Amino acid sequence: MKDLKLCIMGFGAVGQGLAKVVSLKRESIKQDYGVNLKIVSVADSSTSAICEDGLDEDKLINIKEETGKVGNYPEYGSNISGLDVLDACDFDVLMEATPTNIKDAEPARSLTLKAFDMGKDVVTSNKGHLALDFKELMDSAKKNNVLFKFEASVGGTMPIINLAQETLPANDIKSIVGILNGTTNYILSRMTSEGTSYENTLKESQQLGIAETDPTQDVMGIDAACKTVILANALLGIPATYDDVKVKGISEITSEAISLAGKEGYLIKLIAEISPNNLEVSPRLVRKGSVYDINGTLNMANLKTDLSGDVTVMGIGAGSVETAAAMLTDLIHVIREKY
Amino acid sequence: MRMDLVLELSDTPGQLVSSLLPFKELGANLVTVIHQRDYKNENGKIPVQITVKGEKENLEKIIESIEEMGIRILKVNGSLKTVKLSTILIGHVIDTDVRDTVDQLNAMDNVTVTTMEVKFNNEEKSSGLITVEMALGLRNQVLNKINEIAASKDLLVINEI
Repeated sequence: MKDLKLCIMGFGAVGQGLAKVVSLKRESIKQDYGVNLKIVSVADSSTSAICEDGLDEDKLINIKEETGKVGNYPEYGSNISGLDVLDACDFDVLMEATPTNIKDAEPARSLTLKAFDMGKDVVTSNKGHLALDFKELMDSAKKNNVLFKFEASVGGTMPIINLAQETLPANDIKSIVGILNGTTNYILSRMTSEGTSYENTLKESQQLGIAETDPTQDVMGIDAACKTVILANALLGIPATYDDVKVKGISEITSEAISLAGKEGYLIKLIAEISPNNLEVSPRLVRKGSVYDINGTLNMANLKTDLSGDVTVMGIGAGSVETAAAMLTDLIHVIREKY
Repeated sequence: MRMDLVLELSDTPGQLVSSLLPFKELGANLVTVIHQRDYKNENGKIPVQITVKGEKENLEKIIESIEEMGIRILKVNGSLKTVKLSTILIGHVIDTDVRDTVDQLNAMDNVTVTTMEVKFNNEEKSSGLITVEMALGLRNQVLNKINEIAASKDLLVINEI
């Protein structure tokens, strides 16, 4: 049986979810593809655990939960961090799950480019480097003849990139309109059902752990705008970067506006529009009962195609295991193609 | 099924031919096309009368396609065709001269504001719903006008998809 050695960079919610799903699916992947998944290195922001014979997933998660640092892993913990982790131990695929950084895309950008130069395939859940440097990353992956998969970066576990590329390749995608941020969809759904103000609903979402302590990336539309850029590049072939997107968030939406919209049969949703003449994230009116009428933290997207008409997908847009599942799916694509 | 349309075309080469493309693509049969270049509307555009035969569903799609091309449809089966458009504005909706907002929209040809409802919360900002009835084919023009008004008055616009 062939070993497939994984390096996981970033050990927050998604990284830990990844350890969980690798452990859950190891046997079935062995049976289906004759490949044994082995996590050989895991790093958080300042420490790492590295062992060529493989690390134990449960132990990794427990150590991280209990001590806050994966470097406290018995025997194999270390202070090696960042780019050095890639040199510390041989691996086959980099599973990159560091936090999104929309300012300079680091550390994801350097990690990914270095892995490409080492001839390694990369699976990522990160949006920053894709939104800022899509072309550079693609060019480098191509030059090094490696695979670069990023389904998890848009819509969490909701299939969209692979759906368009693998399932609908006969079609040209003309436009995509969707709800690509679960936190804002939750806030707007609650404001609609409860008639509450934006501020109070945001607070409630933070208490429930749906919105982050610093909710800027979600509520200002930044997160959805990153996803807009990724879809524009990957599925519509538009060479856009973050600055090309018109972005408006939801922080100015009032409960009065929502009730006025409701009277006319509309809901207010934070909508991402990706088309050749418009890249935009903004609150929009959608008809009640239409495909855009989804509640809670769900994501959805409506793809307009040239041959198949409209294709609509919906799914869970965030979450640790759910996002990790999208990364594992990408990893299986790599296995099918290369192993 | 038979349908009479009156379109409004600008007096530039190729306009008539391109306006007829949706009929070909959706497999509807043209019965008559009356196009008199000498006769122009007040706005300098040329009205074109078209009679067409086809499946009901296809005829509806033809109307959509012509609209998407930005061509104005003046009449469908003899009557003036209108559609509704709703938009929400958030900000100082009243203080930025709500009367002027409505007047600017009403000043457009074949556009009528039918609803303007404003709600206040405890803060200084208000939310307004505007519903506009307009002739077919004016959607983009009206949206642009609303965006322009909102930008000049620093209002947040929430448009339909």
